[in-house]
Amino acid sequence: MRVEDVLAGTFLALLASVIGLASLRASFDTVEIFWWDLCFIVAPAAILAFLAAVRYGFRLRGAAGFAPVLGVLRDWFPFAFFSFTYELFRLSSWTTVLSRDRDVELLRIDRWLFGETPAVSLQQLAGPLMTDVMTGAYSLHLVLPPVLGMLLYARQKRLFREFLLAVLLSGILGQTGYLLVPAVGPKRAFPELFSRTLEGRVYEPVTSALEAVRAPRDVFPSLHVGISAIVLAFAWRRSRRLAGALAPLVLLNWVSTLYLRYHYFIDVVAGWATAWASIALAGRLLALEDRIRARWAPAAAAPPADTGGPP
Amino acid sequence: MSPFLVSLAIGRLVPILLATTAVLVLARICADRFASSARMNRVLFAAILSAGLAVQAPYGLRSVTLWRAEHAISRGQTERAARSIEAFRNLGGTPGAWRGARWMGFLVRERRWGDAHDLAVALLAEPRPAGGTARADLSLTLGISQYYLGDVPGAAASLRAAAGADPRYAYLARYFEGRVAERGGDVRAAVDSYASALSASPRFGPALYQIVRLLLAAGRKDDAAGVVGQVLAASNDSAGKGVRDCPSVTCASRTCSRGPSSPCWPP
Repeated sequence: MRVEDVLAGTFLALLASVIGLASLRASFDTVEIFWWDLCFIVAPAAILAFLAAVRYGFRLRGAAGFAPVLGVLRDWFPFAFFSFTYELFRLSSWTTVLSRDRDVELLRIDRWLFGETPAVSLQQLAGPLMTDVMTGAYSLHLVLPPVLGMLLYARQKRLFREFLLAVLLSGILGQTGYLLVPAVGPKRAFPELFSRTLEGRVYEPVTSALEAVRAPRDVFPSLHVGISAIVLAFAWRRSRRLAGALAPLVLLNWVSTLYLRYHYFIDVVAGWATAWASIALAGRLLALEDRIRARWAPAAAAPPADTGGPP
Repeated sequence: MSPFLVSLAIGRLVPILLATTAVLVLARICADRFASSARMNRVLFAAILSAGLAVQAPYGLRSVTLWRAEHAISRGQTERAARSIEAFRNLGGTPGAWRGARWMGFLVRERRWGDAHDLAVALLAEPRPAGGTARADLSLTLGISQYYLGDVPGAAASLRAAAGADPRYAYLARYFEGRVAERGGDVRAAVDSYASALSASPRFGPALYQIVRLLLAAGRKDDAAGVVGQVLAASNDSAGKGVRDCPSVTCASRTCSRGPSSPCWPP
C-alpha cells in the first residue's frame, strides 16, 4: 500500500464520519421528540441500569461493583442498536441512494394476489372505534418487545439473548429490505385509492406522533409484523399461556398495518419470512458461538505446553 | 392519562435515567479512587453527584414544562397551555417542526393570534429551520396570524412564502390573499383570489362562500349562481357527495337564492 492510498482512505473515512455524525446530530438536535420511540424501546434497560447504579453508587447491600450496570447495558444493547439504525433511515441523505420508490411494483403484486391491495378492501370496515382500536394495536410494537424482554430477562437470560439476537437480525434483514425495495406504503403512494378518511379520537395524535419519528421508506418488509411475530414465537417458548394472551394482540397488530394503510400484503408476508429467518439464524448463531467457546475454553484453561527447555 | 402523555413522559425520563446512571457510576469511581478518607469519599461523591444532577436540571425543567404544556393542550386549558408554551421557549426549549405545528394548530384554533405569531416567528428564526411542508406550515400560520393581527402586507408576503414552500397550500394562500385584498378594498382582486383558491381546491367551502357573497353584493347574482353551479357540477364524480353535503356549499347555495342580506355563515 502506498502513502497516497493511506492518506486518501483516511481522509475519505474522516469525511464520511464527519458528514454522518453531523447529519445525525442535526436530525436529533432539531427535534427533541425524535428520541421518544427510541426511549420507549430502551426504557427497561434504562430502569435496570439505573437501579444497579443506585446500588453501586450508594453502596447498598448486594452491590457488586459497576459491572452489573455495564452488564445490563450490554445485554440490552441489540434493542438500542436496532432502534438506532432504524433512526438513521430518517436522514435526508438517503434520498440520494433510494432514488425510486417501488410502490407500483408492490401494489401490482397485491393486485395479482387479491385483485386489490387489502388496505383498500379493509376501508369498508372503517369507523372511528375500529380506527382507534387499530391505532392502539399498531402502537404495540413499542410495548410488546420491551415487556417480553423484561419477562425473559428476569428468569431466562439465555432465551432473552436469543430473543434480542433475533430482533437484531430482523432489523438487519428488514433494513436491507428498505434499501433494496424503497417504498412509502399505499396511504402516501396511492391516496386516490381510498374514498373513506380514517378518523378517531386517538388516531390523529398517535399516528402523527408515530409518523414524526418514522423512517420515510420503511415498508418492505413490515418490521411491525416481523418483530411481533418474533415476540409471539418467544412468548410461546416461555409459556403457552403467555403466547395465548399475546396472540390476539399480535394478530391485531398485523391487521392494523393493512387497515391503517401503511403496508401492502406482500410486506406482511415478507415480515413473516423475516421473522422466521431471524429466529432460525439466532438459534444457529448462538449454537455456533457455544461450539466456538467450548473449543477455546479448554485450550485457555489448559496449563502452558511443555516448551521442551531445560528444567 | 393519554398514551400520548405517557409516551412523552417516557421519552423525557429515559435520557434523565441514563444520564443519572452515568453520574452515579462516575461519582462512585472518582470518590473511591481519589478520596483519602471516608469523609472525603462521601464529600467527593456528593459533590460529583450534585454537579451531575445540576447539569441535567435545565433539561429536567424543560421536560416538566413541556409535559405541562401538552397536558394543558390535551385538556383544552388555553391559558395554561399558552403560559407553558411560552415558559418552555423561555427555558431554551425547541419544540421542533412536528410539535411546533401541533402547538400552532392549537393556538390558531383558540384564535390566540399573538401567541401563534410569536411561536411561528421563533420557529422560523431557528438556526436550522424545518424544511418543506413544515416550513410551509410555519409560514401559513404566520401569515394567517398576521392577517388577524392587522399586518396585511406582512400576511400577504408570508402566505406567498407558504405557497412557494408547498404548492398544496396554494389554495389557502390564495384564499387569505383574497381576504387581504378585500381588506385593502380591492374587490376584483379578492374575487380572483377566491376563484383561484376554488379552482385549486373545489371542496374548500370558505372560498366559495366569500366569492358568492362578493358577487351578490356587487349585484352579479347570475355569476354567483354560476360559481355554485360549477362547484356542484364538478361534484358529479364519485367523490362528489362530500362536496354537495358540505355545509359551506349548502350555505352558499342558500345565500345565493336568498341574497346577501341573509348569510348563513359569518365571513
